[in-house]
Amino acid sequence: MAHRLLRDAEADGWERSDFPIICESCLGDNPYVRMTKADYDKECKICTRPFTVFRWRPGRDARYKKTEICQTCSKLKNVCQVCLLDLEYGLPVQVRDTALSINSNDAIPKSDVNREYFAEEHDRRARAGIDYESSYGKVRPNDTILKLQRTTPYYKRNRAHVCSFYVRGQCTRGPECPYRHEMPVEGELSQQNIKDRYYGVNDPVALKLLNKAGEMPSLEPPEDESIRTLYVGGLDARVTEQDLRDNFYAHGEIESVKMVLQRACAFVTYTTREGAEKAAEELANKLVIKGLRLKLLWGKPQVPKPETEGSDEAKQQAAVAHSGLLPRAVISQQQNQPLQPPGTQNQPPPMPYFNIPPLPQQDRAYYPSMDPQRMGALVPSQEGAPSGSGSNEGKSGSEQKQPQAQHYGHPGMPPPPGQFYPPYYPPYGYMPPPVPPPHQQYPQPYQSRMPPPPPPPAGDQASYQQKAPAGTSQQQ
Amino acid sequence: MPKVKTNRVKYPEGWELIEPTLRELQAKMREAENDPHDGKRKCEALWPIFKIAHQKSRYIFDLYHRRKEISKELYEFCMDQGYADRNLIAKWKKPGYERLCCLRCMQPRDHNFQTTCVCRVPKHLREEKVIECVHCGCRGCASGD
Repeated sequence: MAHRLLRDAEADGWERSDFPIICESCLGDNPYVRMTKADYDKECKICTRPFTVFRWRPGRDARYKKTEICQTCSKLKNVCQVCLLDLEYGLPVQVRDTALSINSNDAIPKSDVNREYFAEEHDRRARAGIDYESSYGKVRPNDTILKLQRTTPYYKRNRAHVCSFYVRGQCTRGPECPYRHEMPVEGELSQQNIKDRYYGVNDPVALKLLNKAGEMPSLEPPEDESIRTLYVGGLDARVTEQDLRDNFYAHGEIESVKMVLQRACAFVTYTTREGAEKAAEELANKLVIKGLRLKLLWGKPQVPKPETEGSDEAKQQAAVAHSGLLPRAVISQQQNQPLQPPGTQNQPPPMPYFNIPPLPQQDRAYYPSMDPQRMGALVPSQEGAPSGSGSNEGKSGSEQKQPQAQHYGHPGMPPPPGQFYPPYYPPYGYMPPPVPPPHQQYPQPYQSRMPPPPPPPAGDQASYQQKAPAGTSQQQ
Repeated sequence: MPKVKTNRVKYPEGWELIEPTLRELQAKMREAENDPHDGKRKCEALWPIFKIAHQKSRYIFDLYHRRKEISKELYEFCMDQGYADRNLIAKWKKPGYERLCCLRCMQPRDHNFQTTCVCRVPKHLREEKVIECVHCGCRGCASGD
C-alpha cells in the first residue's frame, strides 16, 4: 500500500495510543477479541484531531465497533471512547455531572482553535506527568448515582443498526443482509448529538434518566412499629447469607437472616426497629451485592387481623403491591381470587397453581410444608377492596377457628369442612399465624413474624398463639 | 512504408468446436461491463465480471483437464489469447481449491488479520449460513460444499 509521508513524531500533536479506553459493554462478552489498530486513521469527533482508531467485534451478534473520540477527550470526561458513557457508572455525562455536582464544563472550550489548543495542552501535560484535574477518581459516589448506575453490561447497544432499506421496504439483500430488519424506534430519544452528549448539555437520555431518578420511590417505614424485618428480593445462587450479613450489619444488630432460595429472596430481621429503619433508609435503592441489584422492601407481619380493618390492610398491601417480585401467575391468581363472590365462603372454585391439584381436605394437624402450593412467602393482593372484603370474612372466620387452632398446639390450618383449601403461603421460616382462615387470608401481603424465633418447640405454641391474636388485634 | 509487423492470429485445429461458446461468454462479459450500476451496491456491480471470468476459465479447464476434449496446443492458445485465466486454473489443480471463486478471496494479504475471505469457509463451520462475499459475490467456494 502507498506509504503516506507523515511528519516526524507528529509535531502537530496527533495522538497515538496502544489500547483503547472502553467500557465493558463496548468490549463485548467474548473473551477472545481480535482488534485492529490504525494510527491516525480518523479524526476525533469532538476535537477533530487525528488519533489511533481501534476496531473490533464485541461478540457474535454484534456489529463492528470502533473508537470515536480520542483518548485525550475521553480522559477529560472519564468516558468510554466508543459510547461516551462514564467508565465507572455507565451513565451519560450529564447525569453523572448532575448527580455528583461536578462542573467541569467551563474549563473545556468548545470552539475551533480554542478547543484544539486546550486538547493539545492537556495532552502535553498528561504526557509530561503533570497531573491536573484528574479528579474523577477522588469523587465519592453519592446516593443518587449509586441508585442510577448500571451494574451489568448492556450488550443490546452492540447490535447491528436498523436496515434503512427495510424501513422503506426496499431491502433486496434478503437473508444475507447484516442489518436489523426491524422498524426503528422513533421519539425524542432518537435525536442525539455526539457533542451534546459529550459536553453534558441538552442530552435527551440524560434528562429522562434524571426525571426517573427524581421519582424513585423511597422506602417508607410501615405504621406497624413492631416490624423489624426487611425483605430482600432478586437473589441469586451467588449471594450467600454471609454477604447479606456483611451488608446489613452496619446499620444495626441482626437478629436473623433467613434465605429462601426457592423464591430468590431473603428476610433480614433486626433486634431493634431503629436498626431496620436505618438499613431501609440507607440501602433502599442502592443494594448491589456481587454485581446483582437487589430489591429492598419492608417485611409484613403474617398475622391475620381479627378486626375489620380492611382499609389499613389495603394500604399496606398497596405499598407492597408493586413489588413485582412474584411471578405473574401468582399475581393473576390473586386477582382471580378476590373476584369470587365474597359471600360464598363455602364454594371457592379450585385454583390449581402450576397444575398442582388442590390440597385434599385435612382434619388432622396441618404443617405448612405439607401444602404443595405453598411458595414460602405470602402474596400481596393488588386490589384493596376485594381483599378488604376478603379479610373481613377472614377475620370472622378466624374468630371461629381460634379455639380450634389453639387446640392443636402448633401452627395448624384446619380447613373448614367442605371448603377448598386454597394456596396459602406462610412466610418461610416464620410461624404461620395460629388461626389462618385460609381462603380468605390468601391475598395477604408479605408478612414477617413479629418476634420470629426459628420454629419454636411445640410446647410454646399454645401460649404463643394466645399472645399472637392479642398482638394482632393491637396491630389493627 | 516501413515494415509493419502484425500479429495475425492462427487458430489451431479444434478451435471451431469451442469458438461459439467462447464468443457467447465474451458477449456476456461485454454486457456485464456495460451494465448500469443503478440499484446495486458499489461492490455488487463488479460481481458479474468475476462470475463470468470464472465461467470462462472453468469452461476451458474442464475441456482440457476433465473431459480431455481439446489438445494441449489449443489449451495453451486459449490461455495466451485471454480466454481463460492461467493463474486461476493453476489454483484449481491444487487440492482444496477446486472450486475457488477468484484469486482475491484466497489471498490473506488482502484481508484483516491475514485470513481468507468468508466464502472460503465451509458452510458447516460458519455461523452465518447465507453470505455473499464482498469481493466477488461468492456464496461459498470451499471444496466440501
